[in-house]
Amino acid sequence: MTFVNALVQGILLGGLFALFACGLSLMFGVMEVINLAHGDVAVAAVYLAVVLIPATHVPAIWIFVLVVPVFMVGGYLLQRLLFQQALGSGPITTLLVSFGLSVVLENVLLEVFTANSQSLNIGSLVSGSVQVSNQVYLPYLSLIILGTAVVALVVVQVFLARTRTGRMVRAVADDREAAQLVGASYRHLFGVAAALAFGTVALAGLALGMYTSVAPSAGPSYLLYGFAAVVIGGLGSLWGTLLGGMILGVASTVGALVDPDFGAMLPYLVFLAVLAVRPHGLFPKKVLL
Amino acid sequence: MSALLEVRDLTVCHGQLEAVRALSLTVNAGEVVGIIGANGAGKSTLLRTIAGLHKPAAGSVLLDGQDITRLPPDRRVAAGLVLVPEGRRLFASLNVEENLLAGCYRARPGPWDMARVLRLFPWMEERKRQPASQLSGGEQQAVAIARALLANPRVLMLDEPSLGLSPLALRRIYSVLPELVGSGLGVLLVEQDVRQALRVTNWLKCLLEGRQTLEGPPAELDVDQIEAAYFGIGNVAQRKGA
Repeated sequence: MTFVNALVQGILLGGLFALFACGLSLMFGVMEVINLAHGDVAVAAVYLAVVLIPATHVPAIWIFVLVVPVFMVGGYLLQRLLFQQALGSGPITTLLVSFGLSVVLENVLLEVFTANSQSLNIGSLVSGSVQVSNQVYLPYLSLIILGTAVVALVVVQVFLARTRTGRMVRAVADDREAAQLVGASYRHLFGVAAALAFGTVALAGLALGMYTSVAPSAGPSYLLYGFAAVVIGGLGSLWGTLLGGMILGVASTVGALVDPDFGAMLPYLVFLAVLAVRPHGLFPKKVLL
Repeated sequence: MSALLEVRDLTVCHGQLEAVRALSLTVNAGEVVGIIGANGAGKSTLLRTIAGLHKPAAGSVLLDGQDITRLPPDRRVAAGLVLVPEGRRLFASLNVEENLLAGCYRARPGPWDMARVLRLFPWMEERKRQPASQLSGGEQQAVAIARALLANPRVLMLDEPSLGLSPLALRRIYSVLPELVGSGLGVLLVEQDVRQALRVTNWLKCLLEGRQTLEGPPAELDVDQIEAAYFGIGNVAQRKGA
């Protein structure tokens, strides 16, 4: 594995991290909710797929069509029924509630599915790759995942930038009271942001489930990566999160060139370095787009 | 004929402090009612409570005869009551056009659409894509008013539009008032600049420490009366006019 190849692989991976982290960024940027259950939601998506695939005979590669909408609705309801109540009591309460949610999710999954890890079998796609040059090869799966991540992020971007509701989500992130004064129900818009967050993280979870296997307790470690991406990019900025994801992806693959353990550690070293030099992240302005 | 906006014995508390005490007012269609008073008199609190951002401790707000006291602020916009808040409060990360479009979010049917608003403020057409945060104070105020108009309100409330504006910008803002009232709106205006308030309103109220100390048509109020009511000198709570 050469450096260039690792770089390319890192970018592919980075797209996945970015998709994973964008929901975190959204929820914090719009309603200042730090969702500690974010990683567990991704894991739950894999388990839902594991249940639905044999039940509906939908091939694994298309299961997101069922799973993502379910999670979007779930996210909307969870925001309006659970997080909204907590928001009134202050930021610590919201953090605690999301932590509780994380614990509940993990244990429900453990209870129902045992501690065995699961992955989504997509057959021959797992192993094939495209040889771009002598030293660079691009696995089909990574390309598909990157493509999916990019499409999803573009869809979110277009939704926020061009649609009526998306515009109001940005408005409510800017100034909640002013949004009320133009007739917006901020609770509904918070729900929309949560729906987007849960939908994207479910998609990221499914991608992860195709890439590797996930276990019920894996949520918090994914959350950590998500946080790192968001903090590197700048809290509340979606483009920043994309860049943060890329940086982390490249750090993990390039680090692995040295040694697998170093590959696991380098992203966090980069994270610490960014925090030391630019504590507010690369795009510190709290602007969603 | 019932008033467009009626406020009855409104009392608003900030914790222990009574910011507004048993205040009543009416605004009719085609009328500009002005509220003046020193800082802390309760003017902004009054407007924000009418808009639904604060819960009153007592009293009621009626729009076109309907009691809207329990209605959340976003539903009041749909009912036709729109506030242009103090400090403009444009959406900073949105551009001019997007801010205006935000005003259309819960728009009622009515005469104010994008075309008419752009006729009122022609300069906005070419600055459509500019981020709202880059506009001058006067321009931001214009966008804030345009954003409010696009919802087609029955009653428009303006909270200190003159704050931070140059005299020229101020004159431009107030020059559009006749057209607004001409289209049947009722306007409730809180103004820091007393002279400006005397010039543009049909009925003026003065507030001091949450209570009304003077009211009447501007033509019948003299400077000494206003001064006394504004600062609470001598006998407070004079009433003049009908």
